[in-house]
Amino acid sequence: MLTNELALPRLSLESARPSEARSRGMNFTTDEDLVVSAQKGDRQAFSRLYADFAPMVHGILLARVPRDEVDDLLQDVFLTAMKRLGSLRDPRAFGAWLATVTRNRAIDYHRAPHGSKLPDQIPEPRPVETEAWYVLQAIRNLPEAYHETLTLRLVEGMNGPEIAARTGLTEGSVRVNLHRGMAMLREALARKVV
Amino acid sequence: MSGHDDLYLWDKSGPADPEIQRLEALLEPYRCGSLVPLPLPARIPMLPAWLAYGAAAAVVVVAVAWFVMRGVSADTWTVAVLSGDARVADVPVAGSARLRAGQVFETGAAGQASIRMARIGRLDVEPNTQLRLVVSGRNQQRISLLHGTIHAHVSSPPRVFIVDTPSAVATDLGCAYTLHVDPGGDGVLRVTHGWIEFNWKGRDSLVPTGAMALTRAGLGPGTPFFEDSTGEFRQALLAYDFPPNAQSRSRALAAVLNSANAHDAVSLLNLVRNSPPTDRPAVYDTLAKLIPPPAGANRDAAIAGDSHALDPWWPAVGIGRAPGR
Repeated sequence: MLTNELALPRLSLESARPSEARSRGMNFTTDEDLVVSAQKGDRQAFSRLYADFAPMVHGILLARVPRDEVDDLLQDVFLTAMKRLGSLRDPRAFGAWLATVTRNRAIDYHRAPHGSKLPDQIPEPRPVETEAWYVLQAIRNLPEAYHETLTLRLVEGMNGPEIAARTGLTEGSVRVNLHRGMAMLREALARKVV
Repeated sequence: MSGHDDLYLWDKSGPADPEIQRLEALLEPYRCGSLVPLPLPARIPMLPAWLAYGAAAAVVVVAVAWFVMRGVSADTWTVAVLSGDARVADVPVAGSARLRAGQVFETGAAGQASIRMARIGRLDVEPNTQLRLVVSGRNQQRISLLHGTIHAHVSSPPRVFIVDTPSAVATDLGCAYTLHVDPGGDGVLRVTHGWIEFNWKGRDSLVPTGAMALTRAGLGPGTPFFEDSTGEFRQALLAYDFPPNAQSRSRALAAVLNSANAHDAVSLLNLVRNSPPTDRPAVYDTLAKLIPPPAGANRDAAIAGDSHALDPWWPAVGIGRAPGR
């Protein structure tokens, strides 16, 4: 059944995000409309949701699983979401629902046994990657409430209101998570605690 | 949140924080890149409509039966744990649980929860928070926030939902707000919509949308101020509200009045209500200099301590009349 690859997602993410397109005055479908259409079986609508919500799913996964696994798991999440989309009763809750599907997928990943094979040769990372890796580890080591929000902000480049709208968290929660998470991150980086 | 770096952290407005910009640039290689096409079917498989509706109906029937059998009343508070660990009356909660009057609810270091408050709204609870449900009745819903952070979204009539903290009482006047109390009893209130009455032992402040107020253990709530007021004004207000001694307080008052601008009128209005009689004339006159006194304003009555004498001022400072006033 899952045979026809979708031709859409080579678009730049910016041009495919309805919310950003709307803010530029373009006449675009809302996320809720897209969810309703996708629930009726419209794969173009689902592909737009894929482009629109991929950064959120990517960020939530990156905060929880090894970087090399993120892209595969991202696809898993959207395929799972596609199969279960009919069970979503409130289209407005799509973002929060998808975030939960993503977190559950990350939990499943850690429950499953993984091989511990190492490649024969491990290349030396470039200095900039080393520091980036170090910072990402510091973010991942923050309490759960903070590492996800901070990853969406610092890695995915989403702003606070966008994180709230996408994940279903209140703006207040996102503000607090960003504020406290950033304070803890600064402290961790200053103490070089990873 | 306060300060320019927090504004940039929040929505990328305001002056950029160099450290955050450096981290953004450093982490950009990890960002979600171009997407691999999803292997979608020609049409997304869906449940037949009759099956979907049948399943939904069955869920509703089971839920109603469950609620009836459990005797859940209109005054029930229901806790849903969103992440991490949480406890009701020292019992770990997995998923959801009822919270009854007298019981303590607490979240762990990574615990986040959402509480459906009987008929009146929702309470989002952050990690490391401890609260007690004091009263859940038709005319009053009251909690005691022992420490931690809550976000309240309240749809009840004014004065139904009340939060006690170690150093202030927050009475909802129809609004949404965030309240944080640290383990020492100090706190911060931020109102995101509507109004809060913040009082304790004779101090009685009205905090409107966009304003915040600090509270100190043993001293009570300070004067509300807008988050985008100047740093000079906020520092002066802090020194006035929580002074180390009486001498420094008079210096702080002068600094408050010198640094105030029209945007700070809400702070000055509250200051007229709560400052000692000797300070009120100077505060009132500064306010009247920044905002033309509205019709019905009565300087003598306001300085004499008649809080209703300030009622005409609230619309004059551009934030509307406070509920119930």
